[in-house]
Formats: sequence, structure tokens, C-alpha cells
Amino acid sequence: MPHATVKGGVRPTTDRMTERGGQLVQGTGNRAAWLAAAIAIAAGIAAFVWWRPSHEDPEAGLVTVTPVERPTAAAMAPTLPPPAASPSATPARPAVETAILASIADPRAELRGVVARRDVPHIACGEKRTSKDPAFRRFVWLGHLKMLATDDGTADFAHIAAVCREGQPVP
Amino acid sequence: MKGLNRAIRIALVSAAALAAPMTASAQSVPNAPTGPIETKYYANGSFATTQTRSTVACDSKGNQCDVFYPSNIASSQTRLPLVVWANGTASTPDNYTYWLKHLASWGFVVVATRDQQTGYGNTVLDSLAYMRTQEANPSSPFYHRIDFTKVGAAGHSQGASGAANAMFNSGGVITTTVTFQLPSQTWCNPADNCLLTPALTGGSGSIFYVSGTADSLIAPDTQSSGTQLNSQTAYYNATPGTMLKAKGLLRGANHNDITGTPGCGLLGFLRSCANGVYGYLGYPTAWLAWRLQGDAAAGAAFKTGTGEFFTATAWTGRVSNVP
Repeated sequence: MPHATVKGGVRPTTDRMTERGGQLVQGTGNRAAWLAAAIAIAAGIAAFVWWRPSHEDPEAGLVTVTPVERPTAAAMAPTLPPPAASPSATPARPAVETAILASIADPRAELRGVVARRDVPHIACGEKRTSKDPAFRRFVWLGHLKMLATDDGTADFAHIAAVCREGQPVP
Repeated sequence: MKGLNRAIRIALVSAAALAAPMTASAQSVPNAPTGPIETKYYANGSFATTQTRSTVACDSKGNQCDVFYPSNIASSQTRLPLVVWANGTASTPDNYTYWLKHLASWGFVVVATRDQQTGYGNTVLDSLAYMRTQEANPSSPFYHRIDFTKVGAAGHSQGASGAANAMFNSGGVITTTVTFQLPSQTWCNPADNCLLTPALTGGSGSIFYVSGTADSLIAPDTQSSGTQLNSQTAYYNATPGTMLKAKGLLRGANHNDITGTPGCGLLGFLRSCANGVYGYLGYPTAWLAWRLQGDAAAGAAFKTGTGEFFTATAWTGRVSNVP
């Protein structure tokens, strides 16, 4: 490198790029490779279906969402007295709600009725309110993109909210 | 023994399934260029590139910056234009290295804060200020090598908001912006971490709105109703006519295709990467070459209705006010 590292400066990490264009090769259609890929994928799918434990699949088209509920101790050791709660103890919050609240970045934000899509758990829907907007409004959460849409009363939000339904395409 | 054989078979099938499609995908390029300008800027430029990272924080949040630049910058006879980059939500420049190196190969110095919440644009402006200190430091490779009369911004998703906000708050230093997948305002959280309508309608400079047809949930071309800017068309229409502006959607491109290296890899679908960065290399680079390097032929490609951009097969939803 022609320059030295300097305090408060930059540290080269030496990453060079091909100088000439055209390295992005236009497709020519390697039939053998595609055939091998198709066979391998088919075999992989068959192996996956054969391998995974059996369970009853939901009826096709049925909307099934898994409520994201806070853990409850109601079913735990009902005959024993509850442990003394630490003053600082708070109920555990589902990870998806923690992620949603982190994205809002408002310590007074509240969520309710949060449900995650059973087939795509990183997509969740529910209602939220914030210190700047105290009314509960519907939201859609895309966890893989860390993006949150808020109901603005338009048909466009209704279009977005369709992603909450199981089986809908995932963006 | 039977279980072992089954495990071996599954391992072999999995390995074949992983290897074969990668071989095939390297031979196909979605959204290949068609016209001469798109083809020119789709290819990498003539410069070898170097990537560096600041040894100290470069923004007010304490993030470091990555800088991509032509390797021969020390011997360059001219000062180079600067592009400030803004990452999408929870992303770093690591997610955009192919695109950022591509820009550097065309003679741009690109500075990218590692901030993961860039929507306000403040850390983007911090990165610009950091480069000013580097440009004035005799020990820096960028000493007297950057032309601060030629500064542009670009960003992805939340970073598209950040890039535009940086331009509108730069006091005229940043003169152009390319936005990739600028989200509808309904996706803004907090609500002001966004390109807000007053900032846009009162702004100056030039702007190129870029999205993809498969990103219809976050950055759609059109919207049904409402006063919020919930589509690329709404943003375009709200942009003052005194600004040079253009808009286009890449066919089949999803929200994170700009992160391709250049493709998306076998598991790209898990991160909304469908076709890779290929189609984004041409016209966005041409726009910056026009606005910051004075390539008039590249600018002519955006001439409203008749420029090459309007006949490119990979693009749709095109509009511009470029005379």
C-alpha cells in the first residue's frame, strides 16, 4: 500500500477487485449442471420428507397463527407457595416482542395481541402504541428485515397486513 | 448400521443439492444490461479498489467507517468525487461490499458509516465530516484527493431515507442521491426516522428513486390512497420539479437484492435477496457518473421518455424529468 496507517486515519484491509468488466458471465445454459441440480434437489426434498417426524398438517388454506403469550406460572406447582418476587423481577417477554420494541426505540411503547405466523414465525402482527401516538394501532412486523409497518387507515396497509395470513408469500 | 447408511445418503444428497445449483447460478445473470450506457456501467470500472476502515469512530454514535476507493488514489492527478453511503436497518457496509466496490472501481471514493440506524441522515453527514478531516490530514491517503464540490449520497431501505435526509440537511454540499428501496412512510419507526414529506418538498439537488417489482410490500411503485408517501411514485411526484429526478423499478428484484455478491447464494431467499445486485450496477452508477463526474452521455440515458433508460428491458415504472 502506498500509505501508512495513521492515528485517527484509516487502516487498509487490502481488498482488490478485478479491474476489467465482463466478469459477470452471461448465462449459456449448462444443461448437465442444471440436470444435476434438479436431480439433487428432488432427492433432497424426498429425503427431507422421509426424514422429518410425522405430524398432522393443517388443513390447506386454514389460517392458523400461534399466539405469542407471556409465560405463566399458573400451571406450575400449584400447591407450593410462590417464590418471593424480586423487586426488580419482570415477566419474561417473548423474543419477537423484544425485537419489535427495540425497533420502535420508545421506552413507553406498548404492544398487545401479538401473534406470529405459525409457518413463518418471524412475521408477527398485533397492535402497538407509543408515547407520541397513544392510540393502539395495528402493525405488521417483518423480523427478517427488522421492519415494522403501522396502520395508517389506508387500503395500502390492508395490502401489507395480508402477509399476516398463513400461506401468503413472504417478502 | 441402517441409520448410518441413511445419514450418509442424506449427507451426500445435501452436498449435491448445495453444490449443483451454485455451479448453475454462476452462469446466469438476471436483469442483464441492454443499452450501451447500462452495459458500460454494469461492468466494473478500470480502477483496482482498496477497502479500509477508520481506526477511530467516524460518527457521533461511535461507529467506525469503511472507505472504498481506487487503489491508485495517491498518484491520481485529479481529486475524486465522494459518495456517502447509508445502510439499511440493522445492516453494515459488509452487506453491500460488491456494490460499494463497484462504485470505487469507477473512480468514486465511497465512505460508509457502520451505523445500523441511518434514517435520520445525521451519521451519514458525520461520515462526510470525517472525510473532510482525512482530506486535510497530510498523513492520510485521502490528503487533497477528494473533490468536495462533487458529493453524492446513496442508501438502501432505511438508509435510502438517510441518504436523502443527508442531502437535504447538507446545506447544498451533497447534490445528488440514489435511493434503493426507499420504504413507504407507513414503515417508518420511529415515525420521524424517515424521509418526511416537508423535507422532500422543500429540498434541492437531484434524486434517482430505485426499487424492485418484487418489493411491493415495502417499496411499491404505486399506492391506492392516503396522504402519506407510500410508494415510489408518490415520492417522485412529491419531489419538486426544480430538482432533476428519475424513478425506475428493476424487474423481479426483491428488497435486499442490492446486497448480492453479486448473486444471492443458495439461501438468499431467507433474506429477501432474489436476483442479486446485477441489475442495480448499470443505471445507478451511470446516474452518479453523470451528476458527479460529468458524463453527459450517461445523463442522456435518463432523458425523459426517449433516453436509453426508457427502453431497457430490465426496468419498468420509469419516469424522469431530465430534459
